[in-house]
Amino acid sequence: MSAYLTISRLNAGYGEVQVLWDVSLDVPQSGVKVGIIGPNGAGKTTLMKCVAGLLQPKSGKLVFNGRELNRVPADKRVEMGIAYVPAEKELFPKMTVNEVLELGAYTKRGRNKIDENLEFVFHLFPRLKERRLQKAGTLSGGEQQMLAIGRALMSSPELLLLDEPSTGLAPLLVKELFKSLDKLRQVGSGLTMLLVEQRVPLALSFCDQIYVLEGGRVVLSGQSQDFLNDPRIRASYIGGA
Amino acid sequence: MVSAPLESILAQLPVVVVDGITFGLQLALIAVGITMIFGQAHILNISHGEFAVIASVSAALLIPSIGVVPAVLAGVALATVFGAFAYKVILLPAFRMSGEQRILLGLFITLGLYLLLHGFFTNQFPTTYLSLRPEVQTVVFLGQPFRFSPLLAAGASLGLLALLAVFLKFTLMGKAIRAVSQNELGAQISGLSVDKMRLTTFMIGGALAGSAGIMRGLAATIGPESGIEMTVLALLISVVGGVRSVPGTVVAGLLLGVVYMVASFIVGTYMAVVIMLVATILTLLVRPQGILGERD
Repeated sequence: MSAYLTISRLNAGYGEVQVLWDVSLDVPQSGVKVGIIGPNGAGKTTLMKCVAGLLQPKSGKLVFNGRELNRVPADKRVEMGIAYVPAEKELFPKMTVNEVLELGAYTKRGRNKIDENLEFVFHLFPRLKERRLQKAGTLSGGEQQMLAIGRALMSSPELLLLDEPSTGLAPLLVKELFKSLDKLRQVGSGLTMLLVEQRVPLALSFCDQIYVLEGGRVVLSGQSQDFLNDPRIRASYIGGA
Repeated sequence: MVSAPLESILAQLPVVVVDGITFGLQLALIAVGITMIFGQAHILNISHGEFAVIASVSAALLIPSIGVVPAVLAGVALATVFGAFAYKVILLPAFRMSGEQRILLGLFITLGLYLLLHGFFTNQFPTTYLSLRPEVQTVVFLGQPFRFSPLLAAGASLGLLALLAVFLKFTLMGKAIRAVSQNELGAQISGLSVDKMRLTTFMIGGALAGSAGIMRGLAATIGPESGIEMTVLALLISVVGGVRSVPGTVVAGLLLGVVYMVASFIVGTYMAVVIMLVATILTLLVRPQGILGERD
């Protein structure tokens, strides 16, 4: 049986600059939470963009649920159940929270479950419910992040790509955000997640499986548990203790 | 002796202002298309006024055989289809580029398209004017006689603009179109097809410009050469309105339409264009982002 998501020997970049070199990654079955860690410029976001369909890889193969993704445009991938939450959020600044969420459910897949998903998003992020008539551009950084995640959830995703959700957030807000994500993790146990995260301890405690990217290559991968127990890894990636 | 012309000017002013509003609304129909297409596709369509001529010329040619209403609808339909054709075929090379390169190439392609259409219409149909005259000729309002057909044109234009506003504000498709112009990447990751939204926008732009051509024929007369004048005035309106703001475009259309008509009535057409340009420059000095536009 083939894996749920297979990325094999992916090479990708922007123009002449190659960012990813022969990157392979496997998500064995649905529901697994995979963390991607590594320093700035390691190619984490580039990898996410390839999965979301925003960047065409130079070579390599992406297979999701037994279907090859390479030729599928970004909007069709949302219809297939892949939702991307970019680090830059990419909201619609002049639209209200309600409108942004409604657009998140633009696909047939999302529209079929729009009421259910909206209730779930408001349950996950009660703050969004309070702000539902406010313009997205006037929200705080933390609220915009919640809205970006909420918009992605409105499409009824199977695979959620979270790109550095903690970027630019105050430590207290990061804690609050991950509390919500934990809630999401528990309720949506079937939801597969790919999480790019700079804060390694957060990634290790949140994810089942970890890939370490450096200089555009996978240099290490394994179970989070093994990472936590390995003193050398603790020293080089977590620091401190 | 001195007060007599002033009195006669004042007496006729209401009629002139109504003419200005009518004219401004027609230009707004064209300018709104320019604004929307620029917002969606980053193409500044120099040939947009020709879409109005496509509708007016074909309607004028069809009226003798199929009657006024079907001919007018066919003209608007043809302008709509041509909008789709311009996007899917003529502008294809521009969409291979992005950023400033696309804006420049789009400018050249639509300039070429304008020259082609203008040449075609003025050579093939040099005398095909559209001039629709309903049987009711005047209505009296506040003791003033008004010509009925410009009022009808103004009402219909206003109706179309209101319909557009409702479509953009309340329908999912309208919201999706606004989403693409606010954040293309954000739209893609929400599962919106940018290509489909652009195609829809070009078709709406074509339909509205086509309607403007018909309205012009109802309020006054539109000939095969009228496209460029409408394009230029509509471009001014689009800029004054704040290139990406649809409500701003409508307000600017009304404002410049009235300024233009009142000025031509008092000091003549030539000076009216100068005054309109001065009004444009003054607006942009005070609000560089346009009347209702927002700074990025």
